[in-house]
Amino acid sequence: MVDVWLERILFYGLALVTVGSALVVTFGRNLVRSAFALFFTLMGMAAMFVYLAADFVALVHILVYIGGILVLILFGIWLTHRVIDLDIRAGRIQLIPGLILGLVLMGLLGLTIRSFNLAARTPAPYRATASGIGRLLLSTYLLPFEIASVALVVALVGAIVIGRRETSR
Amino acid sequence: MEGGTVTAIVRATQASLRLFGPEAWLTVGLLVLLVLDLVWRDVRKRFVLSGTAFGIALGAIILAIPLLSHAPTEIFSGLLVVDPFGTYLKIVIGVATLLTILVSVRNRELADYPVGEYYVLLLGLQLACMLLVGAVHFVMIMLALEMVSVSSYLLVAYRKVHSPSIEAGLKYIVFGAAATGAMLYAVSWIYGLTGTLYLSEVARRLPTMTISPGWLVVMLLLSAGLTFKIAAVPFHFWAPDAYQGAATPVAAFLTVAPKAAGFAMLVRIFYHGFSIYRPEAETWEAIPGLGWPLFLSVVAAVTMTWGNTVALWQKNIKRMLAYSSISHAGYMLMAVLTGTREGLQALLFYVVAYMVMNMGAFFTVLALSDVTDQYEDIAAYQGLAARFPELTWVMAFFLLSLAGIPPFIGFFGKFFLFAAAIRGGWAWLAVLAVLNSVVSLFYYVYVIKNMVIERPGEFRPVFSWSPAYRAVLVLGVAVLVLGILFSPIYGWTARSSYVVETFGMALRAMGK
Amino acid sequence: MQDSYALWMYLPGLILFIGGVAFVILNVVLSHLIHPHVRTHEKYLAYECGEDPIGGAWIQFNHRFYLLALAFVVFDVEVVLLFPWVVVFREFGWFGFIEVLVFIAVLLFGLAYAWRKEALVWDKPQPMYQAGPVTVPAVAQEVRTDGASS
Repeated sequence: MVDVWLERILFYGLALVTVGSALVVTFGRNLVRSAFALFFTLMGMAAMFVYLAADFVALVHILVYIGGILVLILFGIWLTHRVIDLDIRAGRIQLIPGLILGLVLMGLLGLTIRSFNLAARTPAPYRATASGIGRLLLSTYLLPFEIASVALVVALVGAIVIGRRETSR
Repeated sequence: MEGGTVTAIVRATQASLRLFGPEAWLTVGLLVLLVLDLVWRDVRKRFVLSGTAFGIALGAIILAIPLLSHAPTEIFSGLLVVDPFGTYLKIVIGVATLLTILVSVRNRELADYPVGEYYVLLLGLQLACMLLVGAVHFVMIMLALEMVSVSSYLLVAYRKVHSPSIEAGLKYIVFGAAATGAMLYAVSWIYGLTGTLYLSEVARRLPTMTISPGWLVVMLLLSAGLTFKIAAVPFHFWAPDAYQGAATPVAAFLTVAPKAAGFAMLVRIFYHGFSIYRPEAETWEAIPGLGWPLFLSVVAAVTMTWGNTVALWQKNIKRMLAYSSISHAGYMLMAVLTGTREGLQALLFYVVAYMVMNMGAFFTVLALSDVTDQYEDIAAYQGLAARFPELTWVMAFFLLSLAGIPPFIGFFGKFFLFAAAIRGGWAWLAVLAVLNSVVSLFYYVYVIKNMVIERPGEFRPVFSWSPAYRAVLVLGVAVLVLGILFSPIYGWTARSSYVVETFGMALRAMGK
Repeated sequence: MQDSYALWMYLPGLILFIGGVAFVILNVVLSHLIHPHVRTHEKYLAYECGEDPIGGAWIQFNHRFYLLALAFVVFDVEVVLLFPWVVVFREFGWFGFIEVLVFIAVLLFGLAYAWRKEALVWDKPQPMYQAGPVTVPAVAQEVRTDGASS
């Protein structure tokens, strides 16, 4: 009983960190600080995946999003000339319509979630998922697995050709 | 897992690869092209690589043709389906790629940029479109969709020192990310509620469930990704900027191939996933409570009206054609939402008609870009008739065909679309589409009027047989000849639209 | 406990994370508390001797960082997709090996591309002085020839 409560407290603590840092990312004045706040958002999301018994996805999340994409974002900011001194918040004019739209969307999604009867579902047991994913990846999802490599190569080639400084060679 | 299971997987993979010829060929070809780009250091590089790319695209079409009459078969454990409907669209996408490669060879807009990577991205986009056409599993759909999107972004932003091109690419990415995110969220709901990602299984399980109102929101979110890919309202904002900013061959390709793939995805998801097939009437009946035909009809109505109205005010020909292509997406949506075989047939016919006339119009702009600098401004088209009579003629053909004037192919395409809509019980939509066609005549004819106005003091430049020029003339003949002799294509569409009902059999055999 | 466990199995990971964060904060606070506070002007300089720093610490990075990070993300995803195979590779034997080989081979084309197009090469900042033969002023030349002849 105690551990259930502890689990819950931990969950809400993590949720607070995730949402709070996401707010910093969105409303932050400084682009670099926003990027660093994104670290906590992504970390919190990885923890959410742990709560969902998706340990492999949590790991992937940390490896790819924090280890790769966040670093890429930071480099992107740092190589952009003079963007650091800029106040990047959107103009105040958009605040009210944005707020209304966001609240409407939140309400709509909240109603949607309520309309589905989710309470009846039993949560999945916690178990290591990597081996199951491996089996599926090599049998049922063989094609997406291989196509992913082609997609990665196409993306790499395109990114390099656009990211390079020289125009032609 | 014991040895027997692995043997079964090996066998299934071998069997799947036999029907995966075009895509496998493209994958290998794309990598060969990449290597060729790395090792060839020569002045003839541009022509060698263009020739290779052309050969690869041609090979994919040749490999696809025998599959045109293949009975619907699921491959790769039901992730993809090979059927006449998909193969037909794959061939259309292949032809669009061929034409695009042909006009890219000596295109001025691309002359300053590396050539190898351009063709790698183009063939990657073709491969992704072909995968999307056959995908009947949400994982495969999302992967193919992302691949289509990523290569499209990169191609739009390819002219990287041309700032409109970069701006267009950026806008495209931001819109694309939002649309894909919304769609992914919807897919996660579909998986959470039905417990499957196979479209045919979704259709089998949904009728046994209670459909709560929340499904409407799920369908709405799902449609975000779909309307984005076909550039329909409200996710069309990227299209005018992307088509204007991109190099003209890329713009022409983007208006046809990803759109055809997007419509295939629409048909797969809504017909296979959210309908029940009624063999006696040859119709796909929407599962009650989802309301997607009504929703799509609103999207279609708004899209065609919005696209046509805004096109009236455009000064730039590429923007005008972009809005025109938005309105054509609205017309084509009309065929999808009927849920009849006739509608599917009309869609398949219109895709070919649209490819010929829309690519023709873009290529005319392209051919002009080879000889004049002011090829984007409609007002600068004055007096073109005296300088380039051939181009003026074929441009008039393409534009009148887009407007739906007989005897061009666009007229028959629209005729089949409207007939299918009326017989499917969507008469109000058909009436709106006819009114829209009348409105569209204004801006199409405005361009022709501008071209034939005489402007004195213009010299006639040296006539050049550029590849774009040739492609335009071929398409100009095609738009007329196919308009008069439309029955072969119509016959193909009749055979190709006979598709979808045998679907999901392999899946059930596997005991999923 | 073989293949199924509770959320609390992640407790060590959480403790490690909290411990890591706490270690950083604790050390900063502790050093602030115990180090001597001498408030002279020199103490607030970057170096007590040497040159004063110019401009902010956030400078514009070399764009090569970005290309490297980009290539890194692609191969990061590749490695992540290889993890599940490693767990089950005995079950799939040669077939699984070939599948993964194809996967890696395709990505090697990307690596070859990045290599050949010099996306992985670090371009050094151009030196300010002119490379190549230096033109010596005529007067200086005279002086030198004089020196050589004598």
